[in-house]
Amino acid sequence: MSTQWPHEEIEGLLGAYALDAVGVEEAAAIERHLEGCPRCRDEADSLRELAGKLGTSAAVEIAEVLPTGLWERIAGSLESRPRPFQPPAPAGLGPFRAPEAVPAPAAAGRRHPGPRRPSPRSLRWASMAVAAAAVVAIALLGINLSQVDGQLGRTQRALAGRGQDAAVQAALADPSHRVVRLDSTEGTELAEFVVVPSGQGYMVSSSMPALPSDETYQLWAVVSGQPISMGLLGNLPRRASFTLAPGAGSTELAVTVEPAGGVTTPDRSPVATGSLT
Amino acid sequence: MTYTGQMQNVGDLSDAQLVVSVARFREDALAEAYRRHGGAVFGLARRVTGDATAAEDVAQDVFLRLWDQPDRFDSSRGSLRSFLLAQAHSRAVDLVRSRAARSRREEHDARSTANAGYDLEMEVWDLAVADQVAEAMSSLPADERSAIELAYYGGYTYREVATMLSQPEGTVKSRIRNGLRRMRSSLVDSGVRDR
Repeated sequence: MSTQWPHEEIEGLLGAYALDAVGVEEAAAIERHLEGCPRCRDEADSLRELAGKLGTSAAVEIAEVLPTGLWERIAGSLESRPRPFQPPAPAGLGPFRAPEAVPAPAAAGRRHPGPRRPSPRSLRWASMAVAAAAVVAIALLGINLSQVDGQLGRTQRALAGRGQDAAVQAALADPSHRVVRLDSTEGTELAEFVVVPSGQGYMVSSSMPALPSDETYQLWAVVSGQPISMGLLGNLPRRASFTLAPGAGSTELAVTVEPAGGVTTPDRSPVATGSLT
Repeated sequence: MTYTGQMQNVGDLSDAQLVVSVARFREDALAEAYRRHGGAVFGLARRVTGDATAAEDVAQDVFLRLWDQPDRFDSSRGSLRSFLLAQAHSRAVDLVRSRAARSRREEHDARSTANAGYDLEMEVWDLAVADQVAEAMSSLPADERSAIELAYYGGYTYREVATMLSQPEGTVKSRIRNGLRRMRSSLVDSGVRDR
């Protein structure tokens, strides 16, 4: 088999591909092609979306209702899933006072991973005992931080530009979008982000200098004076997307330079910050 | 979800926000995703496999996978519904293809006993989509329609469909593609949006 199939050939297969009606080799060739061909990728995404409607239609047509107990089966097996690591309950990320002042909410789905260890640090950020516990958990489990980090770090590579231009355009077309400019401590502009009211945000430009490969930029949203990771930006940020928790009252975006895997708690001062308010 | 101390009701979250919450280990967010899309996922798997037990396994796989790898969903590339259905479809097709005998053809009408749990509002929307899809489908030329139906609902590859219909593979391939494109534009015309 040749290394690259001609564009026309791939294009002709996209319909069948969207319906899972191609052979294994064809599927592999198409996927290789999609990596480098935005036009086919958009077409494939769009046909998949249509296939989803066929699926909805099929589901309704046979008037199927969910079997009793299926959800219980699913929920029951969550406990035993080797999810990389269980982070502190979300409310533990609330305004930091002292660990005991942060009650775990009844609604929090997952249990706290381990003992919290207060570890005051004299940083620009308020220090976070909860995050310290997360660090302990990470150390214990030896897990890959990039897997547990916020949405951005994990989706960014996958995004690698695909579809994001359209998303950025859409965000910019939204009349209520806001442009957030991140400046260095000297006041030089280092990056611009666009944020829409739903909380979706995208990097639209960056002049952040390249870092050595064992370092990464990491993006943070500051909520009540405390940084929440929005994910890793890599060592040469050009594109990124992230989601601010709606209604969380994020006041600021900040970027730090961290070791390649990122950190749960920044112990360095931000290299760039921008106000969201 | 909010970090201000109280938790936002998952029912108020968009699908994309829901997945972010799933990524943050919120089981209630997964439950909400199941409530919104479980019926469609199960229904499609049931349709393709013709087997309620297999469909349950598919649905379980699909939602556990969302739990394990929420980052695989990219809201800039399509809706959560389509994402989940694409996975359900591909799992179901795998099952069907791995079965030597396609005995699933005898669709037994075993309607599983079921509970409510399929969100009513979503169901209304689904019904609307289903109507439009049925209409778009019925307006296709018969040869395009049958190729699409065999491929998608039957779980056959386009080559198999070509054999079944005694038509050249290339013809079936382009009928599928042309039919889908035609449906897409008629759905756009009739105002079916993604949600």
